[in-house]
Amino acid sequence: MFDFRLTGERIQDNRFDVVIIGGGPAGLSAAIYAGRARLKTLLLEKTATGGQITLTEYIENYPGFEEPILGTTLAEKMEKQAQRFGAKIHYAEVTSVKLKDDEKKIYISDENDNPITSRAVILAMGASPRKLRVSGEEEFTGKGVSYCGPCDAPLFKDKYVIVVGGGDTAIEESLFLTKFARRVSVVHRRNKLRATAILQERAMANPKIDFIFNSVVREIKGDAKVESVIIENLKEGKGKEVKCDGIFIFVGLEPETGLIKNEVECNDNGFVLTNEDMETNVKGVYAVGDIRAKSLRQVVTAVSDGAIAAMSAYKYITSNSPR
Amino acid sequence: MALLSKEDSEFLKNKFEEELVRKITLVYFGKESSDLVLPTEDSTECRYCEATHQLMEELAGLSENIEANAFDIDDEEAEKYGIRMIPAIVPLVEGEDKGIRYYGIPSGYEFGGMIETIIQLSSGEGSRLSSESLDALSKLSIPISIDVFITPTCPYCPTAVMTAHRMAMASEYVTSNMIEANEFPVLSTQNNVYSVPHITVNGRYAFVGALPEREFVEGVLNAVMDTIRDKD
Ligand SMILES: Cc1cc2nc3c(=O)[nH]c(=O)nc-3n(C[C@H](O)[C@H](O)[C@H](O)COP(=O)(O)OP(=O)(O)OC[C@H]3O[C@@H](n4cnc5c(N)ncnc54)[C@H](O)[C@@H]3O)c2cc1C
Repeated sequence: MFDFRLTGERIQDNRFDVVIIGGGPAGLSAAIYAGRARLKTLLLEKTATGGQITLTEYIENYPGFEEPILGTTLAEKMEKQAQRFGAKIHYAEVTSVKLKDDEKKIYISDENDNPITSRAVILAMGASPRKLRVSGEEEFTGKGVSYCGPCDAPLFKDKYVIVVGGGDTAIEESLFLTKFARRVSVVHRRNKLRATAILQERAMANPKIDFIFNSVVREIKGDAKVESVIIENLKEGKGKEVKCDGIFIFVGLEPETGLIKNEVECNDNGFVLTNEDMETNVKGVYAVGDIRAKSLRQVVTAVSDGAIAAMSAYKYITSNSPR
Repeated sequence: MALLSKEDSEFLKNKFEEELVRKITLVYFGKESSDLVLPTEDSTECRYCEATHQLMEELAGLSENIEANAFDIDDEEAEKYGIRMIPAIVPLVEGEDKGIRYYGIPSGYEFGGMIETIIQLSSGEGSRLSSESLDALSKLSIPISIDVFITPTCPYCPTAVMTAHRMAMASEYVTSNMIEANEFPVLSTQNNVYSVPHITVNGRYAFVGALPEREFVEGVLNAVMDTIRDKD
């Protein structure tokens, strides 16, 4: 019934072979491979290891786990695996980086003056939810507007909530919400869902979920908290006000590139460009997982990226070794 | 059956062995039998009292530097620590109350946070807040009570709880309360908790989110600005 999660360790030393920024699946996988290659490895994570997989309940398409595995459990296993091979995991937010020189400098929130230095850096900061950008969204964030299912779903017991989006995340989270909410309406701009077939089947069969297709949320209204939303039917061009207790928004991702925008090359949508060895345009700097320009953003591709980057870093460090 | 897995117990035992310096007392408040009507505004039964008590005993069993002390909510001790709801935990360091409170079971992500708090308290290293934060806190001249509402499945929440706890470690005017929102639905509804972490100060809304330390401290102090006066 209960689950108890443990967290990271403190760092004693400031010099590493590899520093991995971000402890999602991509970063953890890089830590496992770098640790096994006996590189002195530090992984920095600002909230909780696992990244986005802690924001969902079950992962059921990660090979090797024939029964669905809790995102948090999978994260914990990856973390322990990385630690077993000697990678250090430290909880701190990276606040700035200097990546262009041979000696890379990483500044973290709790030790502002002394940077951590390393020879290679693996960028694994992932992505975060995209905003809807409608009126009321910002005002009511935290007051009925949410982007985190596991965090906030339990607060909507017996309530009526709107979910915006039609992809995997939107549908998974709608299914999770039905454990608490009385009713969930999924608002999607197209006439059919984009989510994987099996998820669609489950949502369609769930009596607590209904769908509002060809529609978008135009405005979020309320007083102290969300009271209603304006939903516009795109075919009819007409809006109507729907009373609700909350609105969960799952309309895609934005890469977490604030730190490195000026350090490495990114594409027009802000995702970091790499080659197939995960190398960015800066020597000794790699990018992995959801932060990278690629076509499938999943755990299985994130961990693959991590492994490749760690091996590329290993080659880079050993072939340029002044030691 | 034990709540903590063998593996986790082993891990914690070693960690405590390495890191604990000062003695920690986990003062627990609950109710023996769970079907009694309770004097709290919220639950009429204390669903998680038994588990919380057990968890404290298990932690105490892992280190000589941790002891658990259990009281009934009707005992005088409850008043002494200003305990308003159960289950509640007050960690003491060498018998000293640093103003840290847990209301509801610290499970899920909060468990790791609680372990971190125990270690930090025991290390005697102080709050580890930045000098700017300490400066801002030194201007406090009235007691403030920070409530951090959380859910155990929220990965961001322990960061917020830790920052509030550190403020309590740094200033005798600050009390920091972790409140598990699910276990106290009436209080959560009264406070319009729709996203976690949700932070209130002296009962007033402050902000939502695990803000970085600087913004967090600012947000807390701003919420009660009009009632705080400069010492000098
Ligand atoms: C609700 C939901 C459900 C999903 N379901 C599935 C599924 O069923 N199957 C599947 O395969 N995939 C699923 N995914 C996708 C999968 O979670 C992602 O593809 C994967 O997590 C990407 O891994 P990552 O390591 O690249 O990034 P992330 O998981 O985003 O992790 C990045 C980490 O970096 C940290 N970070 C960012 N900036 C900093 C900084 N400055 N300093 C320190 N740390 C920082 C973040 O806190 C975060 O922990 C789901 C995603 C969501 C949101």
